[in-house]
Amino acid sequence: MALRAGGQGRRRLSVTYEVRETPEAKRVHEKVLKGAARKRYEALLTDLAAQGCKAGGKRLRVRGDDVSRYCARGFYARWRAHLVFEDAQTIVVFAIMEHTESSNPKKVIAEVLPEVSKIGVKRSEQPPCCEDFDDPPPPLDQAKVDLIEALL
Amino acid sequence: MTVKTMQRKMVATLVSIDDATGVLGEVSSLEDATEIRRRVKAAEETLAELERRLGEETSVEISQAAKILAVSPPTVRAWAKRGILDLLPGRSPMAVSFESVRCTRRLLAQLRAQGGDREFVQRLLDAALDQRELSRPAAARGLEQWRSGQAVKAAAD
Repeated sequence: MALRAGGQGRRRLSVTYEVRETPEAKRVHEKVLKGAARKRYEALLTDLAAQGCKAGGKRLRVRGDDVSRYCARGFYARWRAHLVFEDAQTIVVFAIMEHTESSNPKKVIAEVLPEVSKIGVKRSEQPPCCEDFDDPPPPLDQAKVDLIEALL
Repeated sequence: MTVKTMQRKMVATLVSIDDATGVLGEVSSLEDATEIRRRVKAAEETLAELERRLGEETSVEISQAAKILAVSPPTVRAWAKRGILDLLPGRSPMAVSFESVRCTRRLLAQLRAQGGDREFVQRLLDAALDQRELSRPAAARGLEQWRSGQAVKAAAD
């Protein structure tokens, strides 16, 4: 079944999204995901086709690319689909990966920016995929991002 | 570098410092604001050039860099490993270039000055975590495939 919103007896929506996969994402989809994980991923594909960025999870930043919109959506346990919004109608799943966060961001911040550790920062506060969709936030100083990233 | 070369460079450096000091010493007796600004600017340029020349040839050991940057030695090693600090080859104990320590120190000072801005730090950390996640081989491969137009329509069973 090709993925476009409104199929299988539902009324076709006026705005639909085409969902595509890279060979990398397709490989994981078809060869790695099993059982419930696969069902949840395929449900996510349907949601993306119907809802676009509303089903896109959290907004991501990609090094050196402040033009395209990237998002990540958890769909089962530690599995996440990584998305790029190619144009107004096309969403590409470019990777499906199990999330790993071996580092401790709080420890990094406590060392480099001790005053911030008192305030506290949480990963969960990352902006939703749709936020600022047409007006992205100003780019961050890449050298500062690299500095923090080197510690993670 | 031979001892003779080092001595020559040292003398040249001392002469430059002497020139800059002389220029600044005369400033107190001047009244023309334009001339004062011109001389201060000339002295600043001389000092900046000296700093650059000295920085190019000076190495900093890991423990010393940690003190300068006010972070731990493992952090300095991590930054050297990731190319934030320039690791000098063949040095034992390990050392990094002064120039890279100086750049990082300035960056850290800016970061620390903005440290009270919770939203800024949050965005910075998010971007760093995203960057780390997306540097994993599967993500890098997928992005490359998308950029080269290899994505195909997704289909469910």
